[in-house]
Amino acid sequence: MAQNPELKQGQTLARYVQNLWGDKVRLVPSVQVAVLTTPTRVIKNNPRRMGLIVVNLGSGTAYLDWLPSIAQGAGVPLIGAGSTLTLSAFEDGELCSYDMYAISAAAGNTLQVWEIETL
Amino acid sequence: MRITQAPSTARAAYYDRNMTYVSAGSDQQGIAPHAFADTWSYTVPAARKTTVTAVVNIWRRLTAAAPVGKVTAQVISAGGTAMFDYFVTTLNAIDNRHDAIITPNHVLIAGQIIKGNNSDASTGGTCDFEGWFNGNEYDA
Repeated sequence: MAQNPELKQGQTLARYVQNLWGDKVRLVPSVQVAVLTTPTRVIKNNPRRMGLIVVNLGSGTAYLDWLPSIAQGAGVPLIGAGSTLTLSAFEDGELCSYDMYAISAAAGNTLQVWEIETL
Repeated sequence: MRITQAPSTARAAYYDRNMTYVSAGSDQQGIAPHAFADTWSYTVPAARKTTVTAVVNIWRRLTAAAPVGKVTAQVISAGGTAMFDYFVTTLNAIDNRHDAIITPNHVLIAGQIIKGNNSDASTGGTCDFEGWFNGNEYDA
């Protein structure tokens, strides 16, 4: 766990985050995941993840779940053209850190994924 | 968890919903008399729909029967929701034929089946049977 007791004047947000989550955080560069017609892992389990943003860039609906047994038409639907799912440790607890899987009725749907994790 | 669905001004047209071209069929040549049997089928996948854009149902007498019996050939949607072409004949001259090329524009929902089948109750003789469908499959 990284500690920075010497936050400078004005680093208000950094201080707030460190107080809230106990550590500094960073943005993990986004990745693109092509969702298949079979269960596709979107993101791996990460116990340091505090936030997650998933955007459906495709035209079709992608279904999301936290189990690899996800089936067509089940899970959380994320329709295409920019629909977004966000998770926060503050609201969603450890769900934020789990594996996430997706499935779509046809190939061609891509998810853009960002993580916020502690250092 | 927060979910923000993209604003829905109008649902995307079917051709913008992950559309793919699908086709199924069979081309049987020199077939002897036989009981009613399915020769090909296609099932609409879950969460998808299919518009049937073309159906072909062709029969040709290859060699004469003795005696001829009823010959049938059809392309249908299983469950009786649609009959695209149904043909019955007792014609027995070589090159007697039935040609059906249809553009039905019929929508099948998930789980529905389109299939071809035929039978020949003759004694002897052979026939050619050809049946096909083309369609557009897309998100339901």
